[in-house]
Amino acid sequence: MDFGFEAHGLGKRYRRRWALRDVDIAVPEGSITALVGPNGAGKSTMIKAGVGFERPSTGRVLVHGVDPWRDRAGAIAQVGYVPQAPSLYRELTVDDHVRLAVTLRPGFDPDLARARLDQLSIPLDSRADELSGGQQAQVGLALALGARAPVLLLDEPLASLDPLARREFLHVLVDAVRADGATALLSSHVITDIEQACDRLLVLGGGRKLLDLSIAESLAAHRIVEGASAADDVVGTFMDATGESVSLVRSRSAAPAHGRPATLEEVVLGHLAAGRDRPAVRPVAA
Amino acid sequence: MVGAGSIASRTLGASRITARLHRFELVAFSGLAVLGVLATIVIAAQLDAVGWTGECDAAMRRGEVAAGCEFKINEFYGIVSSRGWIVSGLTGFVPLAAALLIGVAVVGREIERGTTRLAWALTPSRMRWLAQRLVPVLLFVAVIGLVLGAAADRWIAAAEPGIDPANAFAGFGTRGPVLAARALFVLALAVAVGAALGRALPAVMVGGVIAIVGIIGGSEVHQRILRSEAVVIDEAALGPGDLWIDQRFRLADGTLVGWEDVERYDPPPAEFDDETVWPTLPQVTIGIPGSRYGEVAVREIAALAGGTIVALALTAAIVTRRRPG
Repeated sequence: MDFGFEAHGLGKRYRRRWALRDVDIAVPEGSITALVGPNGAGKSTMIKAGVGFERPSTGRVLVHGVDPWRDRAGAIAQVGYVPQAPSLYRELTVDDHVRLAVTLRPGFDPDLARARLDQLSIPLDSRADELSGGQQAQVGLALALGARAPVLLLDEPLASLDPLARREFLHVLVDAVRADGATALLSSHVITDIEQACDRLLVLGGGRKLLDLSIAESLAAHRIVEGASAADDVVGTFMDATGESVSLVRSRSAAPAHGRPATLEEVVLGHLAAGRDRPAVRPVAA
Repeated sequence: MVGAGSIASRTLGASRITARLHRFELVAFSGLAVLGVLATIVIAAQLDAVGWTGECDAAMRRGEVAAGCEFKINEFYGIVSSRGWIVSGLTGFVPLAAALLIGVAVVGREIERGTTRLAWALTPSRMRWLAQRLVPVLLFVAVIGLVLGAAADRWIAAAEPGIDPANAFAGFGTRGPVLAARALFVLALAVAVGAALGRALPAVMVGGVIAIVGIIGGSEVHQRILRSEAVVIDEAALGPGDLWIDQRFRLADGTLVGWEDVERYDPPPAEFDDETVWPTLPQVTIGIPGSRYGEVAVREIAALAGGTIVALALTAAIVTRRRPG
């Protein structure tokens, strides 16, 4: 199997704190993988390492087989990146951004970018600072898609969007990825939205990988029980929406199923609770 | 294969985008430059109209007031003192201020606003991005510097009658191509500081201080070089365009001594009155003849160009390595 994005023993240290430690992941080509975790889990760090914006302290990242720190130009050519904040030039119109991309990136497809923006009725002659947050995010996505890169790295682009804008953004993303056969790594806090869009789930917590499965496997492999017994393979315990303490347990094919099926949000919460209870990545000894 | 037409079209497109990013600064400083040129033309014409000639100036240097010169002196210096600051302020200030304020914005403001995250993720070559941002503003500052430098040359010619700006050290560094070279040096420093700090306002302050220190320090070094090249110019032969460096007194055997030694060879009289002339030894000037102006200016421009290239190379290294903010 080929992989669009790989991390091998990836670690990143900021002064005495490890943001990521010993992370190994492999995102299959053509998949849309959700990268989920609390603030400070290392999601942005991992994505930025993929664009060559962060230098790994240990290990390495490969984007479509290219190490961004050794061959930044080669890696950037493989990547379409949507940053956390849209990062548009407020003085420029939407069409100026498309022209800018043409001047900066060989092979950029301005017609594709303009067509995407046209589909969303985003006026090309509007200045970036006249657009809503959702429209700015869509411009960022259109520019990333216009790059026609085999790998899309999206760093929490949904964070500041309303539900409708989130849905539109994901719709465009899924359509584009499916049409081009690209690989996407999408970091997000909003689990309900990514469930519809993504086919893989990667959970980070405390700088470590907590879960890396397809969405279908993640759901099939876990159940929710109230009052877990010693026989249960408990992943983590957390409070549900009603304030009751529930446990996420691993399903066992040999044992009779009990409890109820877990939602994707509960899978994530259970693993994050486990990550919280587990010793986190410690600061480096002085 | 990318055709030449495509490259030209991309370059033009990139220049237009850079101009839009700096539209306010470009319009503001273009306006100030036009104002500076107009002020120079108008006020220099007013000085010319006074008819204050080299003869009047030469007579005044001899301590004489030639017929008809007194009125002209008052009118001429009245215009110079009341309006001259407008010209020298605009021609001297605008290129350097434009260089500083546009320079810090080229990289520093982009990092501060986070737009480098978009641009640097789009381009496989950050140097391509830097060149697109830098070349149009380098050209703008060079043109502003050359135009206002020429205006300052015209001003010097009008305000100091009897000198030829191409052969005179008056206003050295604040006129002619040297002004443009200084502006480009300040621009390159400001770009480097903006890239290092990643914030525009602190970069204006730090860049301003570094530019002032750089220009003053450079001038000091240059002054020392000139001091080592200075020649003796007899007082009578000293022209208005010559660069005065120091004064000496010539002894009978031809030896030159300074003020600190003159009392040993030429003891001062016991009492001074209005008629007393002391020292009585012939005075000479240590200086650089104005005829060397062009050569010295070229050397200064070469040194500033070297500093500019170093600062731009530093910027390139910073942009290649740093996070986008």
